[in-house]
Amino acid sequence: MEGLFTGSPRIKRWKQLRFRLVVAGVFISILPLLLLGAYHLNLVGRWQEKAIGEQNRVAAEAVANDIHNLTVQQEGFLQAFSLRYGKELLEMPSREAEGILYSLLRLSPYLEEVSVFDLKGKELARASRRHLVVPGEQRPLSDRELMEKVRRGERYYGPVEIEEDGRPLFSLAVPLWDLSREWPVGGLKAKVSLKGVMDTITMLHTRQQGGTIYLVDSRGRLIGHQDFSLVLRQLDVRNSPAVREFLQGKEPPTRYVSYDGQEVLGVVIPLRDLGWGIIIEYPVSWAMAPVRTAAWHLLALLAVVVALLLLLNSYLSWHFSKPIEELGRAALEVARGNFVEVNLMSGVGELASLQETFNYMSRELKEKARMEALVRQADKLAAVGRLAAGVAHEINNPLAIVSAYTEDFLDRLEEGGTSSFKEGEWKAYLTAVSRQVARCTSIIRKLLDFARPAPGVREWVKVDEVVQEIASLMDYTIKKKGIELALELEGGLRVYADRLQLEQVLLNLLTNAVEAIEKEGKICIKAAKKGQEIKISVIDTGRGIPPENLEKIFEPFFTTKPVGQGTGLGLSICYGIVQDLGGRMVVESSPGQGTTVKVYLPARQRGDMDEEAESSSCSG
Amino acid sequence: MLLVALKVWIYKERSPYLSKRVGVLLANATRISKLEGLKAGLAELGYMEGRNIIYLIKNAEGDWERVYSSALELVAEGPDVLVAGGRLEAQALAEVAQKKPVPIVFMGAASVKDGWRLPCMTGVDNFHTELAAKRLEFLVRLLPFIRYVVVLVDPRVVPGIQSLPSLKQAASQLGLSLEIVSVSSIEELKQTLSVLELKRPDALLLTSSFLLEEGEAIRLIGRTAKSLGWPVMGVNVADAEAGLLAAYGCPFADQGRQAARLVNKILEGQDPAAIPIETPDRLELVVNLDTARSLGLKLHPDDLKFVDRIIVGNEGGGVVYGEPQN
Repeated sequence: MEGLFTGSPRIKRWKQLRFRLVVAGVFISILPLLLLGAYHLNLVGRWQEKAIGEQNRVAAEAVANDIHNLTVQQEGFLQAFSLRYGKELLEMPSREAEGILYSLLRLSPYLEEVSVFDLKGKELARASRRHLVVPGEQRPLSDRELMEKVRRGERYYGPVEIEEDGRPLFSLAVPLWDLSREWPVGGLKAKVSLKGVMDTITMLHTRQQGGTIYLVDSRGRLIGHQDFSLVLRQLDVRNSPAVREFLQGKEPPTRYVSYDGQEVLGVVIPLRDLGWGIIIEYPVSWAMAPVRTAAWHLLALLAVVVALLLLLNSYLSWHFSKPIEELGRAALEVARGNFVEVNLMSGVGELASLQETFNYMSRELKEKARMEALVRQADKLAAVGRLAAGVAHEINNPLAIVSAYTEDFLDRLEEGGTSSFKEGEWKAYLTAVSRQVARCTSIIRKLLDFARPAPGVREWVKVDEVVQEIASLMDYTIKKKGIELALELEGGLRVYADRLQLEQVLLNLLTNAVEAIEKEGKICIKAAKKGQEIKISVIDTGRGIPPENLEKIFEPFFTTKPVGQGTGLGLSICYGIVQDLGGRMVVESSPGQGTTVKVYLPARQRGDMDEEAESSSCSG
Repeated sequence: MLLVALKVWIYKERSPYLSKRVGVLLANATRISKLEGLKAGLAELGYMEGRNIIYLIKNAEGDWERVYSSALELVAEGPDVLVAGGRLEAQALAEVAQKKPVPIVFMGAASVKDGWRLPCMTGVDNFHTELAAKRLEFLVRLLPFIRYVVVLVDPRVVPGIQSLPSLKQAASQLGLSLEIVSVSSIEELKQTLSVLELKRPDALLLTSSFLLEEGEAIRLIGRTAKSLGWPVMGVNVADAEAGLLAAYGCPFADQGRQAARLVNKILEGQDPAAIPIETPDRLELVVNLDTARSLGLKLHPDDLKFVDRIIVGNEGGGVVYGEPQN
């Protein structure tokens, strides 16, 4: 409202409709996209995790199969030699047997050492890639489990042993059969290099880029890794949940923090017969890279959408708020009394209708204002009529004096001629006549001034002057009715108002007060400053107003006077004038007790008044 | 679009500076095979020469003194990692790079368990010292008739010396008579070989040595061995390829390829001290059948069953015996 009254754009930017429209538009457009995007990303993240988990499982199973196949292949070599040579290997000269064992080493790069032994646990011949083998040297075998299995005709997979240089090897043994009697007579034992096996596995599964493949034995020791240095360092991986759960025979979680502190998606596949576990892990950061990329793409898309929406919404909000702002400005003009019409240049139905309604309102208000001006003028004329008696009396007195002077002057002139006048008497007569004429002229000018329709010009008006002036206009009537008029006026009170309008208000109130008193009574007019307002009270001891009429007294044409004696517009006009001046009116009355009418007008600072005066003059 | 273009331009401008710089020090031309293995291994790991890796190569051409000066020059170039062709080069690089430690990876060095390794160093142990006894065993298995074996050892080379106790023990177990002969220069080698002519050994066994793997020494030993009918067991597979009867060890190229994985780890930022030294992935027994024939040895196919590779028809491009000495 303040903005409307002053006409200045004091509304903060973020409170402006245009800004709110833009923000709301962007928010409404972005929110669904953001929610859908987040939901979609979450879904994709889950799918990705599931897909990687499945991929891990398939890869781990493939790796497990490859390891199984490689170990079975080594076992196959031993079985083939066992079948080919049988107990001959036990019976032939050790040098010859060693030659055969070395040829077995040549067949497989994974075999580090091969030996042949009898059921008594004596190693009869041996071939080794790295260690000296003295031909014919016989050593005892200390592995009881191996011997028991071979005696039962079973194959044997031994535990992983770490060599002096850090390489893990595991033992593998198959029985040597006496084919004629079909029972085992000895065995072939090999040490298999896991490094070679892991190198092959790594080479076969290079497509597992980003992932890590490693192998643990039944004790959780790291026996194979893509990065063989970790095996050589005998890195402890038992703190990895996958290894822990594997050792406990449980299903490990799919997502966990691995031994190196990295969050991974992992899977463990136990290796058949060997008791080992193959573990494949993918760092979550790597696995979720596509989701992260998608998130960045979504953010980029959102940024583009926000930019476009800002442009679009700015245009739309400007398009829609401009007519409203124009309406606001026009309303302000109307409030100032300039009954303008608007042309919103909008084809939108509601706005066109609003424009039509506004223009209709403006026209109506203009007509109303014109009518009010006419009514006020009529009321003034009525007041003039009411004043006529008093004015006539006012004028009658000086005229009587003039008449008395001129009659006396003429009588003396007829009686004694000009010589009957003493020196200076002529001038005295003429001066007396002239003073009375001047008095008449003054009274008539005042009456004309009041009755003349004049454009309202606001100015600083001294309240006490106006009150005294009105009191002097009503002086005759008041005295005639024997009313005692008391003025209690605080000095120096000023209001910024149209003087004539203020006089009209006070005249109306005073007239009503006089008319409310049948005969003899008291009227008191008070003016004082109350806070930010100037209060002018007209208090009479008249007959008062009945409660049922009290609420109607500001209604136009409401009167309790006989027909022809009142228009019923007086208080209504006063009310309108006071409201125009930014004030208010309060009427308190009780029948038989009298009536008090209080007029509150804003007591503005001088500076404000100057500004307003300047603003008014500027606005024309 | 502008941002993408700017990024591409920056990447193109900066790419030469983003390349990894690998300094390689080789003591002699024989070890070039290691470098080839290294390059092949790194290429498999995604390092393409000229694109994202630059090799700064220094070859001392068999000059002991030049190894240190080459090491100095190499360290001055400030590579990301230094790669040594062997133990000698690794020692030289370690001494030179003391003030400004640069990770060092050796492509096959012998006897690295004795505290010789520095924290900034890792690599592949070629197992030469540990395999000395195994070479003697294979020599006996190939030629069961031998009883008297002369071992040539360079007293300046620690692994060679360190292999002697195990060799003596193996000889004792195998029932061989062993004679240890020191050689530390070509001249000394010539004199030694002429002295050995009188002793008539059944075979010669070489030990790990910078001198004894040099082309000139191998050629000299090969010529003398052929003329005197001595079978010689070499240290490096390349020795057999060069014309000696046999050799047992890890091929040079394999050592280089295996070292490439360790170089990659260092280039990825791992601490060399945290990377354990590896032993060779693959060992190979190579027999040069041409040499056997020229020596008049009749090797039965059964005796060759355990041989990993047989060189026939001068496959290795080895020495032509009797070639005048340069």
